[in-house]
Amino acid sequence: MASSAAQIHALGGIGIATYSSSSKSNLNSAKRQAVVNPENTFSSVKRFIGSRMDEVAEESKQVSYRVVKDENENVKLDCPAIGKQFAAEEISAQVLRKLVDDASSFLDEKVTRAVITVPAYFNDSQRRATKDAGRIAGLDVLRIINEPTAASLAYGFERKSNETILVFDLGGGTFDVSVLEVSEGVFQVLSTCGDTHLGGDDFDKRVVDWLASNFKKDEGIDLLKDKQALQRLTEAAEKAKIELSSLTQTNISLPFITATADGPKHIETTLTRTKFRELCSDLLDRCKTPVENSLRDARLKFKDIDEVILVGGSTRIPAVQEVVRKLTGKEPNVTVNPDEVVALGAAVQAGVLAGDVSHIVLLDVTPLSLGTNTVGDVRKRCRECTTSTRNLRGSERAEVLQVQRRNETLRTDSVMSKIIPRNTTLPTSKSKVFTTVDDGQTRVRFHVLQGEREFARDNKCLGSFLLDGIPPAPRGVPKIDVKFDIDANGILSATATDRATGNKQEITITGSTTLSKDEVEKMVKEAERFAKDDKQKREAIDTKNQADSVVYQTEKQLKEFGEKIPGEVKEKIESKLQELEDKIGSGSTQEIKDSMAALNQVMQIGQSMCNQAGPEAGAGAGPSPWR
Amino acid sequence: MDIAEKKLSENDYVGAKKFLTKTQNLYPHLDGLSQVSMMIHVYITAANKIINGGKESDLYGVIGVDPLADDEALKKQYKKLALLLHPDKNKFRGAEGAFKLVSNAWSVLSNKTKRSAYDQMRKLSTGMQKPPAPSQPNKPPGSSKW
Repeated sequence: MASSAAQIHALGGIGIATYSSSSKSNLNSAKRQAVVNPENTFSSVKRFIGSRMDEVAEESKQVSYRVVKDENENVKLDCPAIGKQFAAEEISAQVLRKLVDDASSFLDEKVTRAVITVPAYFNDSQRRATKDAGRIAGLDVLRIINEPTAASLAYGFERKSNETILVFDLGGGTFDVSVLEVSEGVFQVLSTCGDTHLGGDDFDKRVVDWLASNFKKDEGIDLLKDKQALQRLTEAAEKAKIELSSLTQTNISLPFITATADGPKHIETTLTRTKFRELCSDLLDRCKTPVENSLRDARLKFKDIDEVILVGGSTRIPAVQEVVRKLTGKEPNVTVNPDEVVALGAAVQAGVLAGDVSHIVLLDVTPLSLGTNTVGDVRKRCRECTTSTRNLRGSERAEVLQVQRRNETLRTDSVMSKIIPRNTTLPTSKSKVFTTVDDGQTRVRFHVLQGEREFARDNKCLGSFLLDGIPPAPRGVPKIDVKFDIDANGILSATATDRATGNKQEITITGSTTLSKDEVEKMVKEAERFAKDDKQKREAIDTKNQADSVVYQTEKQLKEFGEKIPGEVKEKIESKLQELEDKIGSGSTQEIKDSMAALNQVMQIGQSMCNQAGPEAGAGAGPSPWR
Repeated sequence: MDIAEKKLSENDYVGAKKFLTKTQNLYPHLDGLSQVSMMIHVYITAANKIINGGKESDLYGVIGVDPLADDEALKKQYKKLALLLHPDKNKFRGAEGAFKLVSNAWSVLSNKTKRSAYDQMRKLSTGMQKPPAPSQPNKPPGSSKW
């Protein structure tokens, strides 16, 4: 399935990255590191990517590191160890770089292009930020695809039958539901719904809060204020949660969690499956709404669904599976590996894009509506300015003709007028006619908004542009065509054209709202430099280790065969050995390498002499110890 | 075929069709022939506004089914077009525009309420007036109102 032409790589469910001054993106030891060094270990970065501080206020309290905002209210992650604040994109880029390195060494081929997956309910800014992360990691991001859609691709890839499937994707931090119809090789997404603030981490948090409140009751100490204790609690909670997927109860043991004047304090308790369920009951309830909404949007009933596919590690929780079973009346399909299926699907899509997979096409949708701002209370307005509708004739009257303020900023009473409704198949372009609200109004500012909320300011603003030079006319007379276009790569552009003059203004949303183009460029360069530094550091460590073992082997051989070689040669070896030992202590990587080579040379002389002296002894020296 | 592609991007569908027919006669087994010919078909039918006094095009024609076709037949044909025209599968210029036209037609015809409203309108206008000659100047699809 993996296509070598398309250099595949998928990022599904990335949760953990470390970023401390000594070691970067060391995935294996990240969790251990998190306990020792909570302020400098970053986890669940995906929750912050492409977001403003006010959108993630709740999440920022739940992590062990400090989440701060920059001058533009965007999220930054503070790393006190090196006195730097990182964008979430940079941390994600480190994770990607590590994955790319691993993939490259596994395939023995350089990986340069990628298909990256994101939660389906990610907004445009989060998607672009993810793309930026890919670029910072030195990747050409071919496509950003939705995780549940990717899962369905992997699931339906080898199947021939026509089916309607529901993908239930509960990951570490986000929850997605997608309904798809698979037939004739066409994977058509019918609807997508989700909750970007619900995932396995929330289940852990419930256990943490339970442990901490019990501890406070018994000991009077608030463990949540102690970052290190909090990290240990979180780790224990996650472990308990995972164990409860196969056991009905589990022990939580946290010795020396804190200390008072009386001595050390420990946590030793039992958590049952029933209790865990009770702690998380509201989270389980929150899983229901997106499932119901996605079906409603797809205009289907539960009986129309042929298969329910579970994706994401959190769907291993028995209580979650039960919710799905009860809600859909179907036994969920557990034949796919919930952790891997998303990455496999990304590989299928990469194959499609590269032209290696010919019989499949994916028709995905935009998960959130796109539109622009119009004046609030339209009814009131229309009564005031009767001209705005009186001048319209025929079919245009039937079209939504709305009024537009000239304000630069979004007014609190502006409402959102949808141009591309959610669940529209991509690529797409749609347009609507707008007009002015004031007499003699010559300019209009259009905000490009994304979301489902009634009032404009409650939606995500992706950008704005100004159309001016409208000939002065009574309100409601000018006609402005506003066209929104999303291409196959998800690039959104908006155009406003004044029919009277043909004046045209447009905006193409290329970047996320969190990082400017220049910032991304800077980060790409910085990351390249870091990658070089990292490579040098790794090489230095490898060389040192190699030199250490050479010293050890040489000493051992000298001890064993020392008598068999002439004193002169032996002295030479000993002096070179000493030299190497000195260099290991203080020399550069190159110097160590040189000394190693020098020692190697004299040792070969020694070995050959040794072999001449007696082949039976020489055989003992065996194969050359250095390789 | 390159010329056909270029004519397509210049919104000259009739010209494009002429060159395509030539290509078809010369190299009947050329790769991508069906893709380009489908694109041309979609553009021509979509630009031919015969419904509602020249405001709407024949959505059944765009998808290429009989107006009396059932949901299954319609769906099958739409999927066939999606495989041919989606820009992930069709690398010719103009594929995206053609796909958007098909997808717009599908979004009306796959929705029961919208389809019956469209059928109503279609009945009225085809009953009242004769369809204009197909050789009328083709407007670029971007300016069409759906």
